[in-house]
Amino acid sequence: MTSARRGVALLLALAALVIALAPPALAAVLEVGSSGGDVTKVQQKLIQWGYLTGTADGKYGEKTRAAVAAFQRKNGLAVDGRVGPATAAAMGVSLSGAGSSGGSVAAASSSIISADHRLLAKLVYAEARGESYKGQVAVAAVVLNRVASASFPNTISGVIYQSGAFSCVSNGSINNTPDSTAIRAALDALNGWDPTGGCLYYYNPKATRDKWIRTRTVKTVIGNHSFAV
Amino acid sequence: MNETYHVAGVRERDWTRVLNVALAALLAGVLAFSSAQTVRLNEANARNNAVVQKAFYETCELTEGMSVNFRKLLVAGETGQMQALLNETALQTQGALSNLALLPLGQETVSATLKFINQAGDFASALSVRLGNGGELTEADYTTLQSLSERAAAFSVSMGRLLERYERGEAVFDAAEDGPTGKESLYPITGPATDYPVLLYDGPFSDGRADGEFKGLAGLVEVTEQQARQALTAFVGPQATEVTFTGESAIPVDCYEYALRLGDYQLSAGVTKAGGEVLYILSDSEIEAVNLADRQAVDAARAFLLARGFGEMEMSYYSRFGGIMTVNFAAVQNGVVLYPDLIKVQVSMADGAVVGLEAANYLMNHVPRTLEIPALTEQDAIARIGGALSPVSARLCVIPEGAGDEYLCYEVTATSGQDTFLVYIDAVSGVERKLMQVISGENGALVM
Repeated sequence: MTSARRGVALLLALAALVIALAPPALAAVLEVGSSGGDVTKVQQKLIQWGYLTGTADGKYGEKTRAAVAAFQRKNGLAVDGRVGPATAAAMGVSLSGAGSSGGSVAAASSSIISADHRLLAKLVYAEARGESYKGQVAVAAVVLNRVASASFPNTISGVIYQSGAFSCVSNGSINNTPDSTAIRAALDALNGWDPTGGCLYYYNPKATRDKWIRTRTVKTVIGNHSFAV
Repeated sequence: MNETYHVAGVRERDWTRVLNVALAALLAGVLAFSSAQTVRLNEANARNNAVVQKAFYETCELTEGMSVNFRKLLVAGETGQMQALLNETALQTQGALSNLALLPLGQETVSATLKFINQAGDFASALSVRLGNGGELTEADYTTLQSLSERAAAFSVSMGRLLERYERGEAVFDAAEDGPTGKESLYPITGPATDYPVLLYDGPFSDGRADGEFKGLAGLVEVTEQQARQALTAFVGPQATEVTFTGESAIPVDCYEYALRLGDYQLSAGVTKAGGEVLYILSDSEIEAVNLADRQAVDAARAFLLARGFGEMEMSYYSRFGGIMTVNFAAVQNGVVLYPDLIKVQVSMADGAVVGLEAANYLMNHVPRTLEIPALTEQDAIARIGGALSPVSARLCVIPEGAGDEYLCYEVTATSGQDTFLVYIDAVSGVERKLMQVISGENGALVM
């Protein structure tokens, strides 16, 4: 019996290895005990918005559960500490297992007027989903202020895809489908609204590990973001 | 007993054999899978490296080209030749900028370099336009060209050295991410901005623009938070409720920030400390219902501004997004449209309520102008537009250009086939300053 038991244990270990090696998370719901890329994505969001401190390690433990519950409470979702489709959509995270590319809640009437507008809306959705409307316009305005600044590239795509400029580009969350609020926020920024008054940087003071960004002069704080020049 | 034990022993051996086979198969599968993953990962890495290398090489080539062109410009004698060189240089700067931004260097590392290249490109474009308008290069321009040529050369040489080290396998990019100590190895990319020439040309990308002065607020007394709140309530209208102070900001003038309700709408607003002027209003509420015609919404916006003492304003464009109409107005002085003094009003198409406002440009620029006497008549201006265009109408206006410059122009509306264009002819010098196309869509009319 002992060798059989050892065999079964080995089999289980291998099965676990296969699951770990397979493209991130087969499950559509993340909960305590889950791990992998999707958990990392969720943790990055929670850290970015100040619900969670520390680093995204891809392991769904008690701290992550508590942070998810706090996020759900704050955003009027059912509070169960698990990340299902509704919570994932609210976070702007697409679960690989769920197979969707984020909440496709863009209303029919919210028209995108150009490729620039589309890209800007995607950035707003990825970076500022969960912030107030003003906070979303502010993030779009920072991109446009960079376009106008000599110290940054001269196009919206140049600024957004500048190496290391936005975390949503490196983690892929920029590829989610923006909702109609993000689309409107991008348009208002293109039309000249700028609640940051020309700021070139923003960061979440509770989450950032970047020491350099803290040396910039903060001009205004909107929601979780400090806006600076 | 003995037999049972024997049977159990056989069963256990069979189990073990089955398990071993299954495990072997599984192990083979896992190995095959992971090696396929590794191959895919390596391919992706190689592709990524190729993009970085290409960007590196192209940055070197383009900045070297810039330096050569600037040197040629110092000796070129013929205007057409100079213009060709300047235009090529402007293109090279654009290419260098996009390539530089692709290198994994981080914004703080490359910002000084981006700025230098941006300004060099602006300078080249500005000189090209000036030559095209019949102007000439001055002594100061030649001094700047000399300096730009030297800087571009130094930069491309150092980039070349960096490229060599990168090709040798040195981790030049990783060092950049380690912070200040690593950055030293990346000079000149991180070279201090003060090392670059102070360009005499103050182009559209100059820093001056970011901290633009609010001329419209000059000399106004600072109001208290309570006074600002009263001003906001009076501005939005008697239906405004729950006007809540949410904080202060310095964007780009010192402001008090508020949240408020207007009927069913939740709004955010900023009021300047100087004079208590409303800088912006944004609607947090989504509006989908459309009960008004475009025309009615535009009229509501105009009536709103009139009632708040903005005087005569000219509507320049409008656009609709869901149930929100954005209408853009420019101030008017003695019948001359002042395009720098823009104010945007957002109207709910559900009930005509004003739910948004953007007045930064207006507060920044709106002061009485001393308008020049036009040297051209309206007919002169119309005669100067391109031959492919049929003129429809013309009027005087002031347009902004670059950092704070303004020009008195004739705005000539003209058509070509189905397309409508706006041509701006300088009313004093006769130069064509701007050309825009009017884009009419189902959501409104815009100019591009």
